[in-house]
Formats: sequence, structure tokens, C-alpha cells
Amino acid sequence: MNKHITKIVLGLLIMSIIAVPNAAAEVPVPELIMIDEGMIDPDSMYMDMDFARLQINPGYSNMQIKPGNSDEVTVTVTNKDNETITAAPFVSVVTYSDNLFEKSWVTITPVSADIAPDTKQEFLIEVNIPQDADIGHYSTSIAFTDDVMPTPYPTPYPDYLNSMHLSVDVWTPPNIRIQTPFLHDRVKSGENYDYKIKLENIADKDISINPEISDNNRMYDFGPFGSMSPAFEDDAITITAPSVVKAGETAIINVHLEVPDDSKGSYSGGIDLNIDDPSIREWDGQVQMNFEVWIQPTEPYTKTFTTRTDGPVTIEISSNPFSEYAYAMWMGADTQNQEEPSFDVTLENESGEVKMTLVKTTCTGKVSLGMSNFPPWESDSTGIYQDLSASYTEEYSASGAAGDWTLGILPDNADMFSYTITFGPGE
Amino acid sequence: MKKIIDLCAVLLFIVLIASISGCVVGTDDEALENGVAWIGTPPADSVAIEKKIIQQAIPYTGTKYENITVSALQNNGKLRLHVSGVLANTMRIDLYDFTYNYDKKELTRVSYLLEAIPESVRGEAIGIAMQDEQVRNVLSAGMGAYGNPSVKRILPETAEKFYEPKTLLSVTWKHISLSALVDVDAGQVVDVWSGN
Repeated sequence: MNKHITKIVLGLLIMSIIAVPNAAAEVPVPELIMIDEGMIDPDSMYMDMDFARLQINPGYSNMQIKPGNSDEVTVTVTNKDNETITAAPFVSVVTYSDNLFEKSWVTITPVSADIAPDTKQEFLIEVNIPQDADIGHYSTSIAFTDDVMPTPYPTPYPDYLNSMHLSVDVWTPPNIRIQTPFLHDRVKSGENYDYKIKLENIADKDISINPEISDNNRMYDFGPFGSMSPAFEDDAITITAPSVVKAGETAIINVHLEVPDDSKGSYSGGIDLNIDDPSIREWDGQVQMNFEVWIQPTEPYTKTFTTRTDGPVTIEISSNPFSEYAYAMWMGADTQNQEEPSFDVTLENESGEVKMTLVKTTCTGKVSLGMSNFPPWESDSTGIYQDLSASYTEEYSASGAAGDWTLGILPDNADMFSYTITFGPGE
Repeated sequence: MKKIIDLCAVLLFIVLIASISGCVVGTDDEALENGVAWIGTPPADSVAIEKKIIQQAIPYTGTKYENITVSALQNNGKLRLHVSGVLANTMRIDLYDFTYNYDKKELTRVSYLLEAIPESVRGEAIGIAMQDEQVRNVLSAGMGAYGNPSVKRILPETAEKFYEPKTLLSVTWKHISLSALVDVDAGQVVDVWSGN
């Protein structure tokens, strides 16, 4: 027996002596491994992950609910896995929402369900907004399993794989109606203007206001050298208003504008009414302002020309057919200080001023049948005439002789005009 | 002298009878308020057609057409009707185009362009549109872009394709190809078109 043991020990000793160098030779030497990014298959990244594969429809739902009211959505969950999955939906509040959604606002039925492979289960998600909820937008997720997307670093909230997104707008009809939600006008430098903003309180309680100039609509055009300066500063505008709009009454906010003599360009701004009522969201309590400063010339535009034959001279002057002003003028739009375009025309030759006769005044329009370039929701107006633009034309005539002439045109309420001079014998 | 008195008496009697019968003074207010005025000769079945027009040409909620005028034209065997409705205190009108099928006695609305909207609602819709971020961004892109938009009523049948089957208002700055679809009840813009 001892003899056998001695042989075995001796054999192991010899094997170990032979094996040591070979084993040492097979110790892996650390080396730098270059990973080719193109070889990483995103689809295979989580192939080995063990998570429930559910299909959730809809994946997104939006609700608009008044405080004290509720709404609901039915979500169908389909098991795309090969084993039964227990879906137990819960609210996962996302922290990046405008307002924090409360878990207690949601009721989901059934609370839990075992879903066999390739079968569907409907869940009813009911959202109840309490009466004292803040007006605004809320966002949250409804997760049906607790499987989360793995991340190599900690995240502030888990990203659930089997979830849907729920967006809720909590709103209420405004207690104050802003009957003048914007002020848009073409104004002349050096002149004063007064505007009225009407606020109607339809609630049964008084509501405080504190109108002031706001930066929220501070937008100016960008040219090649940066943004343009406004036509005038905020201090050109004076606002006077009551501090309270009484229940059931209409209050008037007076806006006085003194356009400086040297102003030109446009002014965009806003008045934040600072309406102290939860039914008014931030942007709802704003009155937009846009003023374009119009500089009325005092000297006429002049054009000299020479006629080589005796005969009548005809002058035709038109306002810009695409001018916003012309459009507003003829279409009866709401420019607050609406005045007609007109032209003061003079014609002189070597003998002095020549009497001109206004032959005719013409309104030219552009009309569409709504066939193209209209918003899709106005497509049902196709086939009905729609005015697009208009222009105003005055035609003058004067008898004349060959010689040098000077035409003078002083436009009023026309920011662009064109002229045509016709002379010479007719055919 | 007696002949003149007799003649005057006869004329007075005729005028009196005519007044009572509605020929001269008696334009029926009720009929005018609820009926339509035809331009030219009314077509056959005009009374039945009028009733159908009134059922389909409905003014903005809470308002009433001051008058409705209809012109009719026979075209390729079909009766085409052009209807305009005018609201009190507004220069803007509602326009409808219909066809009438005599065989089926059906009135089909082909087109509509509805701008007869109370000024307060019109202003509110423009204000809501101008508060939309996307609209503001487009409007701020160029001087003079603000302009005066058109405001048109979009009927629920059309609105359903873009939002919900309810009356919406389309606020459009045509010269810069910008339009906002506004839900005045909810005080929000539900869709924006910028020429694309």
C-alpha cells in the first residue's frame, strides 16, 4: 500500500515539475484591444437582458381636464413574450414636467392582470383632477412592469421599458375676457395715439390687475448686422388702469403712445396685464403690441421728363398693390387709425405749373378661388371668391406742349407707389 | 269737385286694401327674418329649398342672420345656389355654395367661406393665435408681417379632420402663408399651418 502511495506522489511531483513552465507560458499577456464602433449592434446590446416584452397601445395620450373633472383612456397591453407576464400598472412621475403630477390623481383598473403570451388586456386609466389643482401642463408615465432601461450611470428617475406617456392639460375657462388682445397700428412719428384695452370680468368675484410693459413679445428683425433697434423705447407708452376689475363689470385700460419725432422702424412689445386669477395662464394675460412707424413726407417726390411733341400728358399713380395698408384700407380690416391713401400731384413745365385734371380713380384687386396655398382647414372654401390684395390708382391728364416737365408726387398714407407718364400722339 | 273727392276716396280705399293685404306696406317681418331673399326669379320648389338652406346655413353661435340672399343658376342639369348671410353690426358675410338635386330633393353644401363673426370673438381668436409660440416666431420673422389676418369659421365637419368635431376659427395671415386653427372655447391654438 505504502509502495503505491509513494509511486502516486512521485508521479504527481514529476507532472508538476513538467507542467509549471507550460502553465507559466499560457498566462495571458494584457494587450490593448481596439473596439470598432461599427461592430456594436444596438439591437443586440440588451439581447441578454431579461425583461417582459409588452406592446402598449396607445403609447401616448393627451387629456384636457378642468379642475374638479376627470377623463379616462383605455390602454391595450399585448403580451409579445413567450411566457405569462403580470402587468401591475403604476404612475411614474417624471420630474421634467412643467408641474408635478400627483400619483393620487390616477386610478387604474384592473390593478393587476396576468397576460398570457399573444393575448391582450385592457386597462382603464382614469385621471381625476382635484378642484385645487394648479392650471397648467402635467406630464407623467404609466408603467406596466417594473423593467427599467439599464444605464451605466445613475439617473434621477427610472426609464421604464413597458410604459406609456400621459400628458394632461389642466385648464379652466378664463374668468377675464380680454376684448382687445392685441394692438396693431401704423403710427406717424411725432404724433400721439390713445388705445383702450377692455377687460370683462365674467366671474362672481373682483379680480386684481396690474398692467405693465412686458418683455415677452420683444422681437425685432435680424439683418446682416444683427438685430434692429425698436422704433422707440418703452417709455413712449403710458398705461393707466384700475387695480381691480369688479365682478361682472368691464374695466378699461388706457394706453397712450407718444411717438418720438425721430422714430422709425417698428416696435414690438407686450403688456402683461398681471391678472391675479388662476384661470389666466402666463401668456393668456398678455396684450401683444406691434406699431409700425410711418413717416409722412412733407416734400414731394419729383421726376423730370422731356416730351418732343405737343399733346396731352397722362399721369397714373398707384399705391403698392401688396401693401398691407392698401389691403387693410380696401378690405375693411381693423387698422385702428384707418385713412385712405391719396396723392398730391403737381406738374410743371417751362411756363410754370400746369393744371391737371383727375380723370379717374381706380381700385385694382387680386382675387383667389382658394385653389392653392391656403391652409388645409380652409380647403372647404374652394370655389368661393376671396379678396387677396387691392391697390388704389389715380389718373391725371394735362394738355401740354413739347418741352421739359417736372412731375411732383406727395403721397399720403401710401408707403410705396408707382407712376406711369404717358405722352405723345396717339395712334 | 265731387269727382275729385270720389276719385280720392277710391284711391284711399285701394291704398288701404293694399296695405292690409301686405302688397305695399305689409312686408312680413317674420318671413323676412326667417326666410331668404332670392336674386332674380326663384327656381322651382323654392319654398322647399329655402327651408333646407335655413337648416344648413347656420350663423355663428348666439347670432342671427339679418338677411340671407340666394342666387340660383341651372348648370348641367343641376341647380347651383350661392347663398350669403349677413350679421347685424358686421360688414363681413358668410358665403355658402350648394347644389340642389330635384330628384332626391337633396341640398348638398359644396363650399363655404364664413367670415360673419362677432367682432369680440374675432379679436379674441386673433389674440389667442398671436399668443402661440410658433405663430409668434413666424410673425417676428419680418417687418410688417403682422398685417391684419382674416378670421374664418371652420365648421365641425372640417374641424374633425384636424382636431375635434367642433366649431373652430382659422386666423390667417395670407400674405405670409401663416394660419392658426383656434379653439376659442379652450383658448388655444390646435394647429398651425405655415405654407407647408
